[in-house]
Amino acid sequence: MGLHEEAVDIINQKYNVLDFIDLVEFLDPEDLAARLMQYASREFLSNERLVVLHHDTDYYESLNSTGYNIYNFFRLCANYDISLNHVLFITNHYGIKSEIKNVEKQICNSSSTTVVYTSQWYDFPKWEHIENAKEQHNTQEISMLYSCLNGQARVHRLLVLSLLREKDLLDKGMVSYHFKN
Amino acid sequence: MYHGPLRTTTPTTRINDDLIHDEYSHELLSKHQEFFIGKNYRNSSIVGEKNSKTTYFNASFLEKSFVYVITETVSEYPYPYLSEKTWKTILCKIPFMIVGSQHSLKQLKEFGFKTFDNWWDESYDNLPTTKERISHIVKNLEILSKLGLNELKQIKKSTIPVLVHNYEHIKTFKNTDLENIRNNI
Repeated sequence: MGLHEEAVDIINQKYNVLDFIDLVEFLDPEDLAARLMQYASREFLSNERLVVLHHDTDYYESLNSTGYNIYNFFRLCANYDISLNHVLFITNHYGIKSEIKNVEKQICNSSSTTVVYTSQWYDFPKWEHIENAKEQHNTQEISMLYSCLNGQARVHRLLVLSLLREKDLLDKGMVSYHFKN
Repeated sequence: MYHGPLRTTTPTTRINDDLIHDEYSHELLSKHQEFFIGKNYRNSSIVGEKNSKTTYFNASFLEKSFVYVITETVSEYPYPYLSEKTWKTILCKIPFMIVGSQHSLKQLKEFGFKTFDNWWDESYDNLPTTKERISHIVKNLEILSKLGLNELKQIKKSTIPVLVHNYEHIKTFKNTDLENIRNNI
């Protein structure tokens, strides 16, 4: 699960969580449909929750559109008659509340999902990572102007590297890229 | 049960690189992408595993650079999106510029972190397109590249209060963030 254990514990202390649905696991929306179907028309007890975790990127056709993951989730809730009063939506997409409220209204004729923002995902440092980094900041070892580490090929990364090359800055940096498939 | 049309892409992806489609970017990519595409490269100073969950917060080699140009997971995106790339930089106490969504720095400031507008122009964060933000960041690097290593060391030294604040604040932020979950669920 993508959410830090401490955050999971806080949620579990308050609610009887029926399911943690991490949207990163459902690239194929039919898999999400299969997962949600078990809650179709369920009469939830007051402290029961479905917890949706939304921490990876979503696909947007344009910057003003609705993310595919968001659309699919609420589309399925509407079709399976899943009560949004019992959905807890945890996300690192700061600002997404209005997108969710819009899609809820359009598809579900409701606006009851609780949206909570947090940065406490697997890629946020744990306490031991923070402690281990305590002594780190040696300013005397500079040998490069900049560093720029790149994992998978993305257009914005290619653009940065291309412009650095265009301006003869590529060899002034500690650069990496992993663009071989 | 038929559940109405769901949305997906072929092939499936969560990232829409096609959102960057201006003419300038296209020309720049046409000129240089052959140099990068299909290739792997790593400067010899870089150690550790690529995106390894066990090592990605141990990046002391970053200290050898003056500034970390963070190429976040996405750049043309409706929301600020901050990943381990940004948290790692804060933890390692390295000054940074972020190639990411509009208002990524603004979001960090709202979290209580400080950034580097005393040392270079951070107005790139407000620019609406990836192309503009990247051009501005590279312009910053061009200006800094005119300085010698000793000058860079002095500037980096002067950023220490911000770097230390951010390192200390990451602990406060973690606690507040967990409290925020407790209060809002």
